Amino acid sequence: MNSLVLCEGKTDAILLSYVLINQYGYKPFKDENGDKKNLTPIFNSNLNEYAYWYKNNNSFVLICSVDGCDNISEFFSKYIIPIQKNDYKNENIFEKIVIIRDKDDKTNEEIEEVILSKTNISFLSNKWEKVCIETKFDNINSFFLTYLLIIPIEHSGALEDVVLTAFSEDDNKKIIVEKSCKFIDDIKQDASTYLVSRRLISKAKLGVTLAIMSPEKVFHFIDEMLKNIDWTKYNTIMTTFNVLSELA
Amino acid sequence: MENRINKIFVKNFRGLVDLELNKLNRINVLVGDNNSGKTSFLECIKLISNPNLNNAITMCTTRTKQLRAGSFFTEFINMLPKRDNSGINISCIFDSGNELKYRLNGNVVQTLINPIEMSEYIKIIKFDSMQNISQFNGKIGYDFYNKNTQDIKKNEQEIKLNAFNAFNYRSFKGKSNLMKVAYISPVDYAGINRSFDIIIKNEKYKEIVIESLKIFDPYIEDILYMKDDFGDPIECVKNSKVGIIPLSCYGDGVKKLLSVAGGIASANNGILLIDEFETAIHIKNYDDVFNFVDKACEKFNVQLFITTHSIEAVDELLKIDSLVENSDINFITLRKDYDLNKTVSRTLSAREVRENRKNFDFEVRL
Amino acid sequence: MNNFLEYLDKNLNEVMFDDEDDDYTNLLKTIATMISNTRNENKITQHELSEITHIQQGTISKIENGNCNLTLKMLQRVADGLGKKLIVKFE
Repeated sequence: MNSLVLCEGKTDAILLSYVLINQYGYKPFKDENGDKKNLTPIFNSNLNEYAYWYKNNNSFVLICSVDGCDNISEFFSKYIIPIQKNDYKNENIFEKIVIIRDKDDKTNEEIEEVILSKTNISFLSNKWEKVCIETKFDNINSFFLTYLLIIPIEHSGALEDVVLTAFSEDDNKKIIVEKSCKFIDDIKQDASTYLVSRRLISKAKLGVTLAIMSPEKVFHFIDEMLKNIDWTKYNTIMTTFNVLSELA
Repeated sequence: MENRINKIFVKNFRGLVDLELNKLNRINVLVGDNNSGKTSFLECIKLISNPNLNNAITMCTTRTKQLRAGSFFTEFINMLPKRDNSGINISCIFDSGNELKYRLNGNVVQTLINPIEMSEYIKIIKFDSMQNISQFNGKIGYDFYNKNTQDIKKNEQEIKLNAFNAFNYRSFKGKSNLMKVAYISPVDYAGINRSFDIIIKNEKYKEIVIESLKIFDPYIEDILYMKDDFGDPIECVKNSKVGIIPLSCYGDGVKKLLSVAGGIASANNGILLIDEFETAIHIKNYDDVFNFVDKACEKFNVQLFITTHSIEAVDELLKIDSLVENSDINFITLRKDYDLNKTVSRTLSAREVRENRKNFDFEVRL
Repeated sequence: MNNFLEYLDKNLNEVMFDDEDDDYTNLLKTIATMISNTRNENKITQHELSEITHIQQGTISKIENGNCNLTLKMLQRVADGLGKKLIVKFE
């Protein structure tokens, strides 16, 4: 069974891979025999594009990050649609495709609309849907399942907010999160040239929180910091990404 | 005479079942796993090009040249589908709009042949009693629909074939040639048919072929016949370093190119079938050899069907921009699907295959 | 490689094929069948015929497939080997 999990950036991808490995028993999979080469996008060395396989028994998951919402259209037309149309045999297509999007200020319906218009495939929020596609093999129809995971599940925001909420579960960290968020909220007026969007404000909040929690690593990329946290301890993370358990 | 097939439907032939190809191009590259039916497909085209019994019998032995063959009769029976008695059924539409429907069916029964008739079959044995032999009783026929005149020409021939009279049918009379088709099998180049002859007869073409042979050996200057001590002609090559040497001294690459060049000439305004195009050709020469084949086929109006196992050969074809831009070449992947009980196919344009290979290392052969 | 392409583009234009070759091909194939049938009727193998006529078996095979540029001399030897007389007729 081959599954594709599509997320918005490298940070998301790292967090997801962490969950897959530590919660669901997947291991990074190096495709030495080229079995999955038919299913692996080849990117033109854009640093923000990421495609790695993970394996658990017979379940193979490809985590792909596509930078920014606009690129998802090209990603689908260049890679995913041809892959899904080129064959009807399960081993050569993605049987399940999950897209993970930040909610920001939109409604679930709005995001579903956007995804549909950009990919021409129906993805429903927080629900599996069966999609039928006409393949190039004698026009034989094939089926696959889609799932749109919009995060955070409950309130508006983005991945950063999910992480902050997770930290807040820990009493020690909760106060740091609260005060860091308050600090940004207080300063955002003055820092309006930098913190131009709601998204960037969230990133700043998380950045400040992490700067305090791991000050010696403040100059490293955020992914490095994320990698060193034991996410299985945070209920928020586990519940948010519960869909990954359904890939097997 | 028809010179280009637009669509073909193979209902039944050898291992092919319900194979429908609707998008045939000037150049068609057939890829697929071993045993997916690529060679059978090429044989279909040769079979229907001359839809009479003589050709069917000749066709059935194309695969057994190197092996100890059963009699023509056994090979003929083997050509028919074993699943049922539906026989061979192939139809196609030509570029001209004309249509052809070809059928060959019947069954094998045990028959008693009287001694006089048996002696006609095998002249040197005197038979004194009735002989019980297997015989194929059936029909071979075709319908040809002419788009212009709107009439249908029907032709049917009764068959009573057994192991003894099979080679009587193997005459080449009967000019019901609907298309000119030349077929080059993976091992043909060793014998090169009459390619040598055909090439030598045409001075200008010979010049071009010699120039192409330089791909393999830059010192080749000429090709010619020399006489041996019996006065028999031997195919030879003149080499500026070594002198005149028999063609047999050369490796298979040179022989293959000669075979293909001759095939193109005999298939002018017709169809050329090359099975396993890349055999005997080193990967570094694929582009030059293929450029020759492509240009010559284009010039002489030859529709090309080639099969290949090599992804390197496919990639070399995809590098020829003019072919890809002009959409002159299709890649057809054949697959036997046992669940659906048919041969399924996927036809992609060169552009699609090139993009897919670039974007995700697409395995077009499976 | 580009030179080769240019060469092909320029020179292929000057090649013309005529189809009278077909009659010759048919003649070769008619003779081929005749030889093959006669040999089989008399239960002689290609190998045996090769030894009698001193023509290589590979060549005999090519002759019987209509794929050989048969000379009159070769044809005579084959006829002799089969114990037949070669007669040519214009009709």
